[in-house]
Amino acid sequence: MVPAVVREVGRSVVAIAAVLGGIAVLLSGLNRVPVVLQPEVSHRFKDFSGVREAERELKTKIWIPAYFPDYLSWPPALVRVEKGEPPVVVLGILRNPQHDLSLLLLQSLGKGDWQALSVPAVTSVVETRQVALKKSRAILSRTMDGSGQIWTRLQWESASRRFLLIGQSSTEELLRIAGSMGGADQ
Amino acid sequence: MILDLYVQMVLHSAVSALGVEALLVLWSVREPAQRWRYRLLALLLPVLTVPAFRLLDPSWGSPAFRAGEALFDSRRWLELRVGGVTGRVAVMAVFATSTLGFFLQEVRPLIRELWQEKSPRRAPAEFPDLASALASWRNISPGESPAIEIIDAEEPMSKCKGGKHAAVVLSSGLLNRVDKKELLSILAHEGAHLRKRDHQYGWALLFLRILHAANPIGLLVFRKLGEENENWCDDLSVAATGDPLSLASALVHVYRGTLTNDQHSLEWYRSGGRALGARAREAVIVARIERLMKPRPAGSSRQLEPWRMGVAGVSLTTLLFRVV
Repeated sequence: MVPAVVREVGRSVVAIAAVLGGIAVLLSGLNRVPVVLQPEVSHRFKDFSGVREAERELKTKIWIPAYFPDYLSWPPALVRVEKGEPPVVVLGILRNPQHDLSLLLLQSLGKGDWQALSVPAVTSVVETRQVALKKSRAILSRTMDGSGQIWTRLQWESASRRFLLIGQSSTEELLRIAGSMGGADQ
Repeated sequence: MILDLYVQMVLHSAVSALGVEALLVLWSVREPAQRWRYRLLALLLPVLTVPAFRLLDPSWGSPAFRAGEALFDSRRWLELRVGGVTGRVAVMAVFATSTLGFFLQEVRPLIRELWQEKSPRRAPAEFPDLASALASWRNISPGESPAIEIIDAEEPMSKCKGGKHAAVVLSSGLLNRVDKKELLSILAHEGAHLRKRDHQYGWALLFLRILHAANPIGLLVFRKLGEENENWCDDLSVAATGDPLSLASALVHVYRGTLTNDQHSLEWYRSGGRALGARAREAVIVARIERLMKPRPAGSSRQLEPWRMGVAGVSLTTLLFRVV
């Protein structure tokens, strides 16, 4: 014979589980509504008008290089945060005076695996090698996109972030830009 | 940032209120004292969780949190555009309307009361039934003898006065309308407010109300909290007098007296707001009378209530962490 108090506790637990479950299902459904109503609006990234605005939202510093060749235009034309886990900040920098996209700097705000959305598609990899970057190593690769343009990619990581620099500058310039990246743990 | 905080507070209020109301039904919580405490929880959680989550977890509310861990991301709704209006604009409209409503409904009457000329006082000796009712009250509640103040006003009214000189305030209009038994029920009801120290807690609740000033859900929960408090004092009054009928009949007198005054005013017809207010007041009084007249079904076990309240608080907080 189960005591009345135990039965009441059991009923209480079932009731609260049902209430919380019901509210969770309702919230998940409501969370999907904007995407269903407006599928063209992406909820996977958000663009900002400047680096400071993105930092304010992210509540963290975005690392930017101290060195920029004169032919690159600052501030970035694109400041995007991809809302993944970890989130990825994408800075798109134009070339002077043509205003073509010349450099993409991606940094993940954490060390988890990430697949950035805002990266030019690669049709073939021409070359991959390891290079020295400050006191650590980086992976340098030269890739070709769909239009036949060559892009140089430089991947490295610090204690808390991962970086990807994609540009049409020379390897030396990219290494110099990457080497000038600031940050607390570098 | 401020808009985000506001939306999070309203959302947390909605989730807490929904959860608490559902639990009150499913757990068969029927005692007004217990129901009042649960509703207070629904008011406290939103003002505590939003700043606590932000302080304890700096990533709470960040884009990564919203994309990965959140069950509900309010920014999706804020960025939604329907018919040229974004969710952000709609929220700002709700904020403005709720703030205006708070000033009109809560702040303006308070200011008017403070600035209003004080009604002249009448001597208790002028009302023989009062002395008799007070004597009966002292018989049923020995040791309780709060001061009585009588204001010269036609509108039937009874309330408690706080501060150092706590007193039950009655209007001459009320004393002229009710009989001895009804008066005893009213005194027992107001005495319950004094015993519960509502006039002291009132300031803390006013502060909480100010924190929820622009929160429409908070306003609704506050209304329910006030109604539950009246039910609570009704029960204490009936427990003392054993006479629910007299209290119900006193409530009818109070309501009819207020309505008659309003109906003679041209303002009552002009103002839809006051008409709505009168209807709402009528609904509350009718509900209180019905409650006093109906037999009470057995509620849940009192023994489990503190445990259940704790479980409800912790569970709702855990859920609210995922609502951003």
